[in-house]
Amino acid sequence: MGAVYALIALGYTMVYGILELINFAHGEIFMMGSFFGLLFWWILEMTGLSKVIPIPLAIFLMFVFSMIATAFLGALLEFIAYRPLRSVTNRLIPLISALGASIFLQNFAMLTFGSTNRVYPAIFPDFGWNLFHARISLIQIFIFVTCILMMIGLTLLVHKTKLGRSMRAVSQDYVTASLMGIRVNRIITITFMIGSSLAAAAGVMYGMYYGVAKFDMGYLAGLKAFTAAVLGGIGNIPGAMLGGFCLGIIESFGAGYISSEYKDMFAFLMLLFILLLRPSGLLGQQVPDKV
Amino acid sequence: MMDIRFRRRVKAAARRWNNMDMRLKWGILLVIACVYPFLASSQYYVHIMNLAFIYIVLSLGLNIVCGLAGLLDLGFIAFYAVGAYTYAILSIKLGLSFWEILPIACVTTALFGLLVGSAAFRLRGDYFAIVTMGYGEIIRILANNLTFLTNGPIGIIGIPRPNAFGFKFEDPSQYYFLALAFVALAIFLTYRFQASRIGRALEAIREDEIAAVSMGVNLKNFKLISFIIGAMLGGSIGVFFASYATFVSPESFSFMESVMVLAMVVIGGMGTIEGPVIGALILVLLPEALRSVSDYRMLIFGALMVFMMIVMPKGFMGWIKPRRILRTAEEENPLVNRDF
Amino acid sequence: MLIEISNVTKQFGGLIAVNDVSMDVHEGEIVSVIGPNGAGKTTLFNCVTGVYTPEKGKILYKKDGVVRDIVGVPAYKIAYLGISRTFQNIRLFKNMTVLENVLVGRHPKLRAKIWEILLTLPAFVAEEKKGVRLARNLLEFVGLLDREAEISTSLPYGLQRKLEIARALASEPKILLLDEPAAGMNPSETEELISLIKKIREMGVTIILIEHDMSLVMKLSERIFVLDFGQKIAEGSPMEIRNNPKVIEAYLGKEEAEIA
Ligand SMILES: Nc1ncnc2c1ncn2[C@@H]1O[C@H](COP(=O)(O)OP(=O)(O)OP(=O)(O)O)[C@@H](O)[C@H]1O
Ligand SMILES: [Mg+2]
Repeated sequence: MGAVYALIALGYTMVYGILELINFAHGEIFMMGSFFGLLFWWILEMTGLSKVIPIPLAIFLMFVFSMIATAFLGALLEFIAYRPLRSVTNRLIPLISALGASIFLQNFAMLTFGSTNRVYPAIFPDFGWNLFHARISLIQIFIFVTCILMMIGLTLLVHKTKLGRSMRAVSQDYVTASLMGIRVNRIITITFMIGSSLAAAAGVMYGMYYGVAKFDMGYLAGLKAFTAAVLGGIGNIPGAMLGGFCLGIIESFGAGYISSEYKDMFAFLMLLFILLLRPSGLLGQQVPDKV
Repeated sequence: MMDIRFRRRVKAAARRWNNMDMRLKWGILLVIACVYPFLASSQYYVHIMNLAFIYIVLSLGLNIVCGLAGLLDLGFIAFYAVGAYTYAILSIKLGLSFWEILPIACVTTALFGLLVGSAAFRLRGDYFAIVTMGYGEIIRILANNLTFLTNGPIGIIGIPRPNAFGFKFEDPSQYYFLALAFVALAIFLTYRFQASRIGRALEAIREDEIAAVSMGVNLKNFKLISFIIGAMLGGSIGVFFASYATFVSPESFSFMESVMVLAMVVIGGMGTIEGPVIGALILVLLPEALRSVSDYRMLIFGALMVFMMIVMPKGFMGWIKPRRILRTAEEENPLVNRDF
Repeated sequence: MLIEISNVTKQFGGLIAVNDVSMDVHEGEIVSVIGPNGAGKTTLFNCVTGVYTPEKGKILYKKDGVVRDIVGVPAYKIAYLGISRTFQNIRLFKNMTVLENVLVGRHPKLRAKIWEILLTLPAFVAEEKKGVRLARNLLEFVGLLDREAEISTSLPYGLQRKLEIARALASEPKILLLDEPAAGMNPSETEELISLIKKIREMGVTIILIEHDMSLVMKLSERIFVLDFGQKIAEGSPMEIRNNPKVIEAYLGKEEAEIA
């Protein structure tokens, strides 16, 4: 699960890195991503294609469909709820707008997909290996590998391409970046799209893993991913990955040794503890105020 | 286009309000509030207003932390929870009365505010926000799991109702004036603090920490003060809530509740008194008004929230000028040029 | 000696912003600190006001006949000790009015307790009245009285600097540190500023001034300290500084015309 948190956390961190904005609706983006994946599966089933195409291809297409659809949703969200507020200095304003968007999306999902658990197709063959005491299933390996691949992809994108360079420039200082001829709006839209599609992938994997999607699943997952992002130092891409994995590990250990009821609390306590020791997160650096 | 005209109208109204005499305007509001339960056609409307009053006090409490001191607190509802559970537990297990528990709950929440505040005040901006979110969640999870005290997710039922002078509070209209008293107290408190060195120091912190420190403002102490005052307001109305609902469960204190209170403050207009009041009224009454479209009401509500922020980022009461100087002091040497 | 800075060093990572700087200021003096951009002048002020804690050195400050080292004293306490400042990059409280800004500056002198405030006891009322009266006097003094109800940042730049001075004076300080008060002012505003600073000194306030405008520095200062790359390269009367070859060199002839 750590890997999934990491993927969602990346979306928070990327947006934060550029706009210094907590995208509160990101958890809902993740939820929508999960539903888009499901929607695609339903389409396959209805058209009978699910019997025809091989399973790996179906899974692949499910990811692609959900990621693309969610990317557009993310861009739309940015366009409607954030862009008009970019000049506002009070940081709480976009936050409230984000909350509004998140309430909207949640209710939208509830109205369209219903308020109960929606069953995710059990496409994955259910087998696994026993390793020491833990059972590792195929789907766990699949999730882990996919997440790692995506993170490698993102890292390459940010560090090796022109687009990545522009993104980093915008996150340093977007006024200067726009003076240097970078089309800031476009970069921001693309950032939202990338972050959203990663969340969509996470949503699909989450659905496959737990076998269900629900309209309010974005809330807790979003909260935890946000925690992960802060844990690693928000705005910092490797930090988000580290934070996600840490949170996953902490949680499963916490649940294993203490009690599963306190699992959620354990994650938060850990967060408080780390922040009190390192007020800018694990990998964040402290920037002193210049007077 | 429409929104610009709307904005202008709101601005003009705010200016008129600014220029009105303090006592007159609050007096009028008080009179309206007092006659409301007698005009309301059913107990249900009084009940809704009681809920609105609860949220007014909550948002005024959060306004001190968030609007004045500029600290983004995402776990404010925890204070409310602590107050509510304090009442529920002490009244049932120890049989204490409402009036005995109220001060106890104030002290408990204040201590809790002090604890949270002294852990978090060093953190900046969003880190502060997430720590507050963390403690809010921790309180909720504790309420869920400390079953021997809180009865877990089921919650505590059959909480006794308060008495006053041999009179027992039963139906909403009887509670109404108690709630109104809380509201009046919260407004008065905010007003006094804001127009004093404490409020000015808090707002200075919000505007510029370094300049504030250089003016002699002890950041730690004043942030803690804001936390404690906010916590006490939240905690005392929590006591009221528990006695009114006669039922508490962790569900009432979710993260979403914190967020709603925050939204009330921001939509109304942070750092003013009128803002949180209006914000709470809107966010409580609007979903009620949208009841006819029940399925879609939260959908519309969410969309309206986005819309509000885009059209009026300062909130409804953004143009109200808060009074930061004691009236008698400011008017001692009145100036000709009053408009701004 | 009112304040004595001795061998103060402040580093940022590898950069030594202030390097072993010493200076002393007598009561009632106006002294200036000059130097090229990045010389460490503002950093020196930040060390004195407790915003930064220097790694090395002492800052001895005499108050009521007692001398104490104020290195490590938290910034807010420094204000209570009677050291007040303005900022190079204006730091007014943005959403507050002109008068309210000055009243925040009065903070160290306001003592009302919470219950006095809540119960509106006479002690609180009297203190507020006195504060407002004093704040208005200060606004009149800097020429801002008719604009007291405006939002501070709606003032033009030059007036914002004057408001910063009024705010700093509201705590009735012994020492006033002015960081480039004339920056962004036109010549006539600068002239007004010069007479204003003189009047402040007549009120018994000792002034330490950072300024790039040499004519202002030369007209006002009794003594000048010159910093370059964090080090003090010269000190003396305006006359001595004007003719000091090191100083001329530090400014790379840029301001030679004005100095010579
Ligand atoms: N908080 C900080 N972190 C890192 N470096 C800093 C910090 N504050 C100042 N510096 C550096 O210290 C050096 C001295 O800066 P300072 O602001 O004191 O110069 P100054 O003499 O006031 O210059 P100016 O005339 O431009 O105001 C500069 O190189 C600056 O970049
Ligand atoms: Mg400087």
